[in-house]
Amino acid sequence: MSNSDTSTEKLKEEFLDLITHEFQTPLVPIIGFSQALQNPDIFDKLTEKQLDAIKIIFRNSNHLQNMITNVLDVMKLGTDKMTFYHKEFDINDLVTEVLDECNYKTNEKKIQVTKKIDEDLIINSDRLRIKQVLINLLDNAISFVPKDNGKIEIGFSEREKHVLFYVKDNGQGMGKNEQFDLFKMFNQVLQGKKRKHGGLGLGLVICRMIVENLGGDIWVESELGKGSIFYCTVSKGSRK
Amino acid sequence: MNILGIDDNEDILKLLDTVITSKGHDFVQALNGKDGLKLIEQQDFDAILLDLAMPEFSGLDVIESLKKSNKLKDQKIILFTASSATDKEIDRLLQYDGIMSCIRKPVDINILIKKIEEVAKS
Repeated sequence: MSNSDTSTEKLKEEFLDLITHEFQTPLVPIIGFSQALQNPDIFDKLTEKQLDAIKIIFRNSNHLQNMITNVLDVMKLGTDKMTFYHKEFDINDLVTEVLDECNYKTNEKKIQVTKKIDEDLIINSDRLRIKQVLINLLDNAISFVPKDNGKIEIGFSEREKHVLFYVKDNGQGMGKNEQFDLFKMFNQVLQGKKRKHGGLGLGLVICRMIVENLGGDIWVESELGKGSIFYCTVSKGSRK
Repeated sequence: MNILGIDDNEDILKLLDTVITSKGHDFVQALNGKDGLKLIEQQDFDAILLDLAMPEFSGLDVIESLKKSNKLKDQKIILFTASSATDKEIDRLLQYDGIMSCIRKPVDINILIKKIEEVAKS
């Protein structure tokens, strides 16, 4: 690569970093205040109508934030700009942290969440990226389970050189055709008018790219009307 | 508890002020790294939320200045960042005595307050 190519690449990388920062920053007070307004300990109790309105702002700003993160991640993964940083960490702690972060959404939809684990397990991998994958899978499950009767189970177990995670939901499930393109880039566009859901369809593509970079795989078992189980594996890496 | 927030975004400082004072804590704010550093030199804080990417005098500059004056180890700093700083860079900063934790923006306000109180009590 010539010097000018290198400097252009560096500029692109820095610009992507700048976009990430500039897009995320205004969302901090939008998401933060729309969450705070729902809390009667912080602001005066809202009327039902006001509460419904602020919940819509909160939900949509979170959705926008997810899409921004996903688009930027796809750009980084597509240009090999996403860095992976391996260190030792406890999977059980990570799953607890992920559930804590999704607590607000699962509570709001009154979803029964179960955590199933084998035992504490230390692995050497990229904690932040695995967290991103699990949050993505959990967010999908949260969207698809029925309101007031939703059930989600999350768990992991050791599989020789890998750790296997799963997220099971009692949502509407999907047929074979829908499963086929699920982890492919541009799946939402490819489905054209047949597409059943909104969004960019990037979440699962990013999950696939991340787990593949971490020596693993991702797949789904699902049947229409019977819910879905998303599985993913990552390499346990070598312990010090 | 006396909490300091250093961030170049006024709306984010307003959010921190709203959430932190609702829990009965005091909140002091600085709109840039230099003012933040002055406040750290004048007062003791139970926790400091420090934005990393600020123009002119960044969060990293605040950390470097405190390191030079040997005052970093006496602080309880929580990095509060929307930048694409990698886990590796964050981990490097977390090695310093005085840097306790990192919160990435945007953040669930319940998790934010939980982390601040954990660090302040530590």
